[in-house]
Amino acid sequence: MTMDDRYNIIVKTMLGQGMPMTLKLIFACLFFALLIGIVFGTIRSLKIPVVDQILEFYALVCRGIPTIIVLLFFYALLTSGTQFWISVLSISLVEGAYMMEIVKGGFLSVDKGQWEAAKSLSLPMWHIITRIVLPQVFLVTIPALMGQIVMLVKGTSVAATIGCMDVLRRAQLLLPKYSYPLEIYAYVLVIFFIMCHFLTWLGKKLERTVVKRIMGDQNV
Amino acid sequence: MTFDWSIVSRYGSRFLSGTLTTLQYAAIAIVIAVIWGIVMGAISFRKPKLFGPIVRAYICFFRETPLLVQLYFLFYGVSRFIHVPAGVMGVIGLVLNDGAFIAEIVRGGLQSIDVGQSEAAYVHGFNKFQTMIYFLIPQALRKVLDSIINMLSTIIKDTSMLMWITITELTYQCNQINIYTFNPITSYLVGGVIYLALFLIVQMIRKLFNRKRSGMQPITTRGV
Amino acid sequence: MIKMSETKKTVVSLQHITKKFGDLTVLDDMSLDVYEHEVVVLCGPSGGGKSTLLRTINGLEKINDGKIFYRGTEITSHNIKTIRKHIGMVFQQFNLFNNLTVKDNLIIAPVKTQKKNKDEMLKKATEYLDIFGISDKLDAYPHQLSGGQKQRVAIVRSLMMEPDLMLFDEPTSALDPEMIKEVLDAIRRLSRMGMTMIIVTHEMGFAREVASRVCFLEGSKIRVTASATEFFENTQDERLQQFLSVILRH
Repeated sequence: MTMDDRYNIIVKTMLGQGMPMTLKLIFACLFFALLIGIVFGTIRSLKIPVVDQILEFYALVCRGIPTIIVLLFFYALLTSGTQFWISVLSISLVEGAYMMEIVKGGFLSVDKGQWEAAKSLSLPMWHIITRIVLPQVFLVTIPALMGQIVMLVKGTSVAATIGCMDVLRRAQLLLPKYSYPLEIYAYVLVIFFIMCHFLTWLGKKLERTVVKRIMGDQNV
Repeated sequence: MTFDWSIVSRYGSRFLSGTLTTLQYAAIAIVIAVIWGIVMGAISFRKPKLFGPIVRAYICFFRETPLLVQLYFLFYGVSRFIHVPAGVMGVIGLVLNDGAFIAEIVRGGLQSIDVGQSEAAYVHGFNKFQTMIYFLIPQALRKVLDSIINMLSTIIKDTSMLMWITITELTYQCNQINIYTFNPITSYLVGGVIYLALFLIVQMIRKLFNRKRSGMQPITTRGV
Repeated sequence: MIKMSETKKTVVSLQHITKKFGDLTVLDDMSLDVYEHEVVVLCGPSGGGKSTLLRTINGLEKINDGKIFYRGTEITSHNIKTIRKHIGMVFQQFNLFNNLTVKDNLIIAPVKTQKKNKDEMLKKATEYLDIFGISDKLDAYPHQLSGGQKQRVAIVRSLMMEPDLMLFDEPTSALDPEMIKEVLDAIRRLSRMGMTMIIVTHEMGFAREVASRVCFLEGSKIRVTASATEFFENTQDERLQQFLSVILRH
């Protein structure tokens, strides 16, 4: 393989054509997974009968079943809808369940005394939630959420298996032309590694600076 | 389209063979991955001059890249130079990936052990290696047993990726059954239920171990 | 004394209140009146219902039976939010808002609930912190403070609401010995200012010094209510003598 070929493979095809799709997948999945996680995680922290059991079952299913089964199921079942949206649906549902459990845990870790103190200062419910409780939930869940986001980024690679034109799929399509699978897949690995490692670094950085500065050591 | 019991009975043997293949790969992978993970975790904890950075880089890299791409890399890339069957490559992939996660768990366990333990071992004449084998690793494993059993559920789920390197495990069979019957609800629902059952069994094992453990050790945390 | 008792106004009146946690009766038909400028200390063995009594007053615990009046108005679930604005509470575990700086902890309630001017509140907060000797901690987060500092900030946080009555739930129990004094000094200062207070505490020396009245709670009842001198020197109650002999020996 010449350097020109490598330029074509990495810059033009993988980064130029595949990366936009991968990023679209990541951001769309992240958006919906966080939405599911925050909304249902909040609801779970309230421990409403029946609703809580339903959400617990949802969490159980998503933790117990491989994403690929969910993906193939929706791909076969939904005759309309692009591969992109079917991937987003499947990955968001599964990752959302994990985020939900993290957010629920964050709520439960906020000390009861914080609510009591806020109530005794007669802060309105809206302010208790938005100014006191949610910021603390957010701060204590940053490390776990960042870890889950890394899992999500890695998880988006399964979209390639149903033909979503992401970095991995673009790389696979190059194989008939350039018969260097070892090298080409290595590039894909490196691209994912850079994204994930950046996120891990960012998570640690946030944990060390923002979270530790505000909440101290005990609360992390 | 609805759930069709006749498909379940007609393709029962496929579901069964898929499940058995999945279990077989999961069982082999967890055993090797635990051993591999302990070795890697211990090295990454001790940080020897040469191997320390290499092992840490390995753990970092395999934790932060997708299993699917790792499997493609091994099966389509490495296989060209080292000829091994797909199954062996599959196990290698699972061990390298999940072993990296186990290594981090083990390292965390080792780090949580009081320094006094190794100091006590050194003054009694044990060398570093013996201290590791006799005292540190057993204690660390007891601490992280729960997380390691939990890795078994992760590995069972991860075996589903092996279908993309031609291994006929459960997800592959579900996919085939769907191709034959055009009934995704039945084919994937049955598959999903089987995975869920396996997951619940692992969770039960976890509970069993935790109960046994809490029965053996004195309770250190006091109630309020 | 007699003259004062003629004009004294009731701030809080508990009338035959009962509180149960499941089958366990924590407060059993209890009655207590607290008058303006009074400092009432509640003491007794743990599990006697002292903290629960305190928490019923600002509605953190609902009562099963009886009535609680605040300046003549019965406290109900409807008006508790309005009434709370007049009642400050200081907790054993401080309960400063972990995600806010000292400054924001102090001004959030008056600014958000009483629509006070932020700059004025900031000025007031600084003055209070100065009085209690922690003016340098304005921008610190709670985790950067010592226990004694946290509790003093918590006291200031309550003061910012200009409360009519302050409740202290074992304010020094979570503190190291060397920090207890600084918090007690702060409460002493409030008593000199004439603040009406109900304090749950095990600090008997302090109780003797600041309390107008001391109540001994045991077995979900108020067994003894007496002026501080009477309480510590002339008590006839056997259980109280027992309790005092144990606690004063420490």
